[in-house]
Amino acid sequence: MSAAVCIQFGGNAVRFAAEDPALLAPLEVHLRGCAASESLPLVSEFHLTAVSRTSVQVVENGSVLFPALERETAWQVLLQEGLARLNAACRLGPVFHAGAVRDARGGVILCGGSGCGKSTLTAYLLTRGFRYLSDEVILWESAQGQIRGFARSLVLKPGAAFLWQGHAQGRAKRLPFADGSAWLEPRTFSAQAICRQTRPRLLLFPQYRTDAPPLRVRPLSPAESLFRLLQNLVNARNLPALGMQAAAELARQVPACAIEYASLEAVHAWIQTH
Amino acid sequence: MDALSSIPCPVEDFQAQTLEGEIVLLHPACNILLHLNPTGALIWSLCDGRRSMGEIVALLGAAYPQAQEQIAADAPRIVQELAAYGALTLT
Repeated sequence: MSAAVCIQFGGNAVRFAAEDPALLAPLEVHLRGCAASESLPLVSEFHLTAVSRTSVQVVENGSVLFPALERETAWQVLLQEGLARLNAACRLGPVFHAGAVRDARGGVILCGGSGCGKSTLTAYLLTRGFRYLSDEVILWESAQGQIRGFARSLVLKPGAAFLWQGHAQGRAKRLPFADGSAWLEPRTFSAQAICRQTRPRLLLFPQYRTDAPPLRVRPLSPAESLFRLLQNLVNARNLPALGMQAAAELARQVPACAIEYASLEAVHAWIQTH
Repeated sequence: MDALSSIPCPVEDFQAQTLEGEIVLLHPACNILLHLNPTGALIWSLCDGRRSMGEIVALLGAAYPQAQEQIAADAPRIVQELAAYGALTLT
């Protein structure tokens, strides 16, 4: 018996395979929002094999990538490695480090690197009824004027349990890790939580600060917006003019603000009125 | 060489996007990314490798006579900053 999980983003696919389906079960659940169709080009295949009761070997495209990983670490590593391969292969348009959610008026992009609070903010907005595109990367399809997200399960940092505990009602698909982080399936909040693509209406560059006022907002000029977008562009080398032209179109079309916040509620309230 | 006789020249291979009077510059090989506000963008646009710093100051002074003193102080400083960031060379 063998199993495989195939995920897609940006026009390409990555496949995870194993003889023992149990090795892939968490990936199957928490990457369900990124499931791939058969027709996409496969850029990488990872094969998992148990080498002991608690560790696995990971082979990528026939070469050993990791000879022995703890199972829990393997899932976290494969999530990042798989996404990295997809980002590196994407030529459809600029891919940004960004979360994205959608309300009735359109998409809200939350752009920034690791540690800025975009995953926590994305999760909070889901608890407030927003739909989910991603908490990690988005693709800007400038010809269509829309964004697409990598709709994996949310990766919640330690201390973010309050975000889902009131909503789980026993149906949360949550996978905790030893470091205090957890994967949380977006359908925990709503069966229709996942949104494949949307036209963006707002571009935010968030920065969480414990010592900040509840919310400070600074509108950005299109040039300031472009400057920040380019710092979060992950596949520049694949794109004409390093993606600068396409990123500039996003900066021109979508109003942008830098937000510094200590209150998730304050950010939500502001988004609702802008 | 005094500052006003130097000739600022844009470094090759910068990509530029102009948005509402501001400019974003990207040099991929040197890993340089710069944002120029409207003043910086205007000065950058006048640095063509032929005009001297003195000519640039004079041009701006003629266009903005009420700010001649400010221009004489700020324009060379901005050019020096752009040179320090690797966007211009000074000959």
